[in-house]
Amino acid sequence: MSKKFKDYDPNLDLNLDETPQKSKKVRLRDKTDYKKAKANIEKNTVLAASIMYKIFGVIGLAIFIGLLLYSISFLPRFGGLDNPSVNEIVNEYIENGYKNTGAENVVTALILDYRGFDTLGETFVLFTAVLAVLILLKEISPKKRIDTYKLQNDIIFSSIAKLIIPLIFLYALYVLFNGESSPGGGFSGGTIMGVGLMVYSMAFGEEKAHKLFNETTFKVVTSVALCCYVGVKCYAFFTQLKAAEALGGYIMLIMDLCVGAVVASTMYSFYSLFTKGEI
Amino acid sequence: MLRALMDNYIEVVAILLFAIGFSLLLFHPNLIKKIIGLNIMDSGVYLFLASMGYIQGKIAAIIQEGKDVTYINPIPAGLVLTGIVVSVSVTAIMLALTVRLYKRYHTLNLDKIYMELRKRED
Repeated sequence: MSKKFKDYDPNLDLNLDETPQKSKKVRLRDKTDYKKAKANIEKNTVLAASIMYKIFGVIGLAIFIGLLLYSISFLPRFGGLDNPSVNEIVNEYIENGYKNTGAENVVTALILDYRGFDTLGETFVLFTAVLAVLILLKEISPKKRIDTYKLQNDIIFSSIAKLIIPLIFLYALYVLFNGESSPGGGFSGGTIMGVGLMVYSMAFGEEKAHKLFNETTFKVVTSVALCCYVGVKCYAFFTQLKAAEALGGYIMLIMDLCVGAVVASTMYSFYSLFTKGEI
Repeated sequence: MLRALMDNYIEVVAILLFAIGFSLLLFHPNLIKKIIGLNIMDSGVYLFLASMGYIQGKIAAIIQEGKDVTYINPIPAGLVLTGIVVSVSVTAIMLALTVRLYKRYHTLNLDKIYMELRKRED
């Protein structure tokens, strides 16, 4: 289109081969009536369409949920002892889990040793999500935001945060290292560490947090953690060692720490991208 | 069938959560409410999956040696972990897209954004 939108003149578009002076006023009236009628029809069809959509939506939803509730009667009883979901795979995991992996928490042994490549895919999903949000939200020249209320000027918050932040990181390390013998593991410990970084950024200001954790740090930490996880897992896979023997029995700890690092940097990057526009 | 619904009440609650989230997704034109609806649907699915692992009379799957106990099915817990991570990532990307849509069209109503798109095409 060569013409811009605001240069559009409605009188110039009609190519009628009549005398221009007399038929100009007739043309204007016809055109405005035509426009009003068209707008009216559009509004009525939109209203009718939305009412029909809602009615059909309710009916369709009721049928769908009715079918799902009906299918519950075909499920086995909740918590039954001879459910078909308990088969020889479950018995194998529970009986030989501790012997093969050295981890008392069977769920951690599952996700890090028996199904370790699934966890690798998940960490890649987290990394890709941060890259996508970075592309969407990064401001090349961030304008100065005028914040009338900064959390670092709040006396109650900043004085309590100075006491609590080391405790948060200590708790995160405890959950990470104890992933094998109690509930915990890579994902929970990583989330707690991410929360600790968020509280640090809120309490001490954004410049200090930027010095501690910026985009270069994020790229280095996630790349090293992912490569380390892949290397260790492939070493254990190709030499067919059990996880209780490979690398002196510490292989699960290394994998836990790698996953925790990726999750922590992901959580903090999401917070920082949504508030500041840069990591 | 009513007896089955009373016995498996956890699955019924999970399907009701799914229905609530789905109706939020269908009937509200606001973008943020649609994202909240997707999150509620996710919670319903996790509840359904995790309740498949319970076996009566057995305890959680952390092996304690020397005791005479048996353990529940640990596999659905691993599946739910994967699901939670995927849900978090998808929610983050959807919210970032919503922020960009708002900066471009200055409204959060999906119907109005669609109308404006059609008008600009004409």
